Amino acid sequence: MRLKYQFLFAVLPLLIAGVGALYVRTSDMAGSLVQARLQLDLVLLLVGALLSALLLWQLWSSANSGRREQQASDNAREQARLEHRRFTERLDHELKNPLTTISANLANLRATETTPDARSSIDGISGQLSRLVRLTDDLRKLAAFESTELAKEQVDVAGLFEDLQILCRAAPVFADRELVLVLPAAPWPVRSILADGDLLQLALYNLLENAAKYSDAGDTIELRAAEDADKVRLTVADTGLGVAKDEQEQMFDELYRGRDVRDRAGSGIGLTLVRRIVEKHGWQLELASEQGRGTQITLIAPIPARS
Amino acid sequence: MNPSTNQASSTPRILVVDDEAQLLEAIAPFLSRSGYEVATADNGAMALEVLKEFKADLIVLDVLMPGIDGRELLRQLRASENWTPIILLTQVGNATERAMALGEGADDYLNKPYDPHELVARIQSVLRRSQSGVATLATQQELSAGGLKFDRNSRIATLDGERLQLTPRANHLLEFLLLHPNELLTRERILDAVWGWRFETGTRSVDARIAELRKVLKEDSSHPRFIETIPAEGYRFLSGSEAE
Repeated sequence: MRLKYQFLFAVLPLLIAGVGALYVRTSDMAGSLVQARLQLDLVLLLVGALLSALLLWQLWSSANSGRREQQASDNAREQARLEHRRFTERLDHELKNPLTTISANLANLRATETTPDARSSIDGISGQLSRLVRLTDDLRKLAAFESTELAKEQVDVAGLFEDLQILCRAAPVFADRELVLVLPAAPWPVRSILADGDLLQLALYNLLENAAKYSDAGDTIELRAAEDADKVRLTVADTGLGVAKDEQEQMFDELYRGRDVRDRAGSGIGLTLVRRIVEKHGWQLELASEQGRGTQITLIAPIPARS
Repeated sequence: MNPSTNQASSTPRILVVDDEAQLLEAIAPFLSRSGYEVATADNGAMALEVLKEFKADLIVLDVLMPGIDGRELLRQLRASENWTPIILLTQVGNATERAMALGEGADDYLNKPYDPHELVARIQSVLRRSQSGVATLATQQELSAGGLKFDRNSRIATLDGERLQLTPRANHLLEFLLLHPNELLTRERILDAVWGWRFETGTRSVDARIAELRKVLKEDSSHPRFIETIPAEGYRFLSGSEAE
């Protein structure tokens, strides 16, 4: 839109010059100096055309360089993302042989060392080893997810919510949290979404689990669906701890743990997976959070417009 | 290393091929203690040498090795009609790579880092389903059980001649079940094999695909013909071979 106005502005000198030239040609004000009049309207036209050409050229080159800059920054971001992925893959690869070796040695020790002291040391090492194994598992999950192809199908939101409710009921982290489902049925049920059902379920479950982890007994967690003209909004909201403004951007990064919640168990890839699932589907993610009041995260999935 | 000539023993023989010497040193005694006769090789060429003397019942093979890597060794063995069951240690849980490994004739795969107990469990189950010298299921183009047929090239499944309509994941799941008949399959194992990774809601995703399969296979829930639920453990695919 703006470009169109800029274009009109650029051709304005030519138009004015054209009108001026016409006026000069038709008016009598220059009297008998026909020759001079002829030159005047030509000069006017020429100046107008030059000015317009100059403005157009400026417009074109600035639009072009904007596009180039955009492309360069897109490329740089993509490059950084690739590098980062390669790094985590290398890290995973360099960790797994030592971890397997430690694990086998520990199993050998467990079979031969029977004194209580040795046993308790072995247990201590085992515990820390499983933490490292979990870390490599998490990194691998992200890598595996990248190479996963979406298996899209029409996902019924009511069925999805039902499954999520069952999953939440079975998980201890949801104890003493009030889980509320909001699923409009009027004037019609929320329409189904074209999605990889397993991944959509995982994304919402991760959000719900996060809400439960970063809230306390008595807090409320809501899972809501809403349909607009051309999109479905799936929201997980809680009355939990909330996220500080300066942490909101990083909270979806790999292995990121919030400043004030490091004492709470968590892997640090739950939200990263949510973001990757959303990106892979081409959806949008919306976040609203206030420290001490709670958090609300919405997945926005397009659906065909209602005719 | 330590190739054995004791042919009469009924102790299963395992060859472990991995370029990490320290890993071999740790895993070999563990497997010996678990009741296997173990030989090791730290590269593909050496594995071929060892195999001349050591008649392995199963090979545990790392993919990433300098020189002849695990995948190449697997190809060479199969090309020379050597059908020794192979557990491949693949690099990532990448679905394409795993499908490729199974297509090339690996019998199972395991990700590093693995728990040595998990390795023993896999060895046991592969040994149970394999008969030495016979081409394993993993190398067959058509899989079948009862009236069920699955063509692995076209990925078309039929039941009593009628084509089954399956979602892509149910299709992969069916192939995996047919490759592992009469075996207890935990949901985690199915996730590794079919989805390529374990995720928190995965067990429910497995259940949903099993339900889809049961529906198209027209299973009678009280007398399943193909898919049996093992409470609190997982599923078992009944190949129907006992009945035949």
